[in-house]
Amino acid sequence: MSDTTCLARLLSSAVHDLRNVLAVVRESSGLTADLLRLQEDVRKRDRMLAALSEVQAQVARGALLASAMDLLAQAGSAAEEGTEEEGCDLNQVCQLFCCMAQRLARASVMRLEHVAKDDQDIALGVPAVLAALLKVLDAAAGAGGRVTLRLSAAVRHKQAGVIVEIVDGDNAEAVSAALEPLLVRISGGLQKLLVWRRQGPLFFLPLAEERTS
Amino acid sequence: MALQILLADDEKDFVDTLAERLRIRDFSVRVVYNGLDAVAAVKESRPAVVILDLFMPGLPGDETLRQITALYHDLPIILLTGQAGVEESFASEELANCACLTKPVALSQLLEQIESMLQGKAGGDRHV
Repeated sequence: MSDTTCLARLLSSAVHDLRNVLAVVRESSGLTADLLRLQEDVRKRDRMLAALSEVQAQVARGALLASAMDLLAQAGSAAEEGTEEEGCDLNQVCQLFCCMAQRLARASVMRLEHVAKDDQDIALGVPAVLAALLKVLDAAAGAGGRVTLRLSAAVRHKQAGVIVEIVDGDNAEAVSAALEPLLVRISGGLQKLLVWRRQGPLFFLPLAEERTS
Repeated sequence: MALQILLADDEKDFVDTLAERLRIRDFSVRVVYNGLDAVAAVKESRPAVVILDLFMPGLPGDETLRQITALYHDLPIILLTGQAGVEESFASEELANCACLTKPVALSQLLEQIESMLQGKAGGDRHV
């Protein structure tokens, strides 16, 4: 068994248990809320219900992280099996990255946002895409951070990659300069094709040829 | 008459609490903690819906599912598990009356799925 398979199997097993933990927390807090709603004369009832609602919100946050870890575990297993051509859904991996790297981003007063798009299969494995995105994050952090990076899977000149938009920051200029050597700056026509409201400098991270099915 | 639900899951803390929440909502719930008891419970009395974990001790979950569908091929079954992507382990015909949900699921989503299956609609995120 390779190291990758070992890590993937253990991660998958741990995520399964983590989901069970989240399920118990969700049902127990949900039951407490149900019982509180049945009793109107409980002191500070509304405050307790609000606190339980926050528990539910945190469970949803944990579930999102669990889904991201599931994808990592599957990527590890697929890499070992070698039965399928290497590839991934770029949109899904961008979402995974934003979820898993949020803590790293916060350390540099940054935020990561993902713009949901349709599935986009590319001929590149999950680890390679994550490594490329992490390099972008590190470069932005190295330039002082304090920006929001908005990521979106896209195709440019028949090449699949990720649009990186710098938004909501007082350090956008320095971060733009740091990303310039790594990414392709987008200007002009392509901006008109983008679905979200443009607020800051746009870059393209080229990754692989677009895969058509 | 209250709708009969069979809950089969070895995570006792989870399943007992979920059962209590469903009973508050006027469902009639029977709880079992392994696959053999799930098959026996279905043989004893056909429920309206089965909510089944796939990773329980004793009878493997896939075999539990096969034995239950062999008894009642049209019995709605919700596979509720902590393992993502379980539907890939089955042939599509084995999941003809199944929906797959991943824990932790919101009770509102579970109730919508039950209603949707009882109405014979292809509802839910991952109805297969």
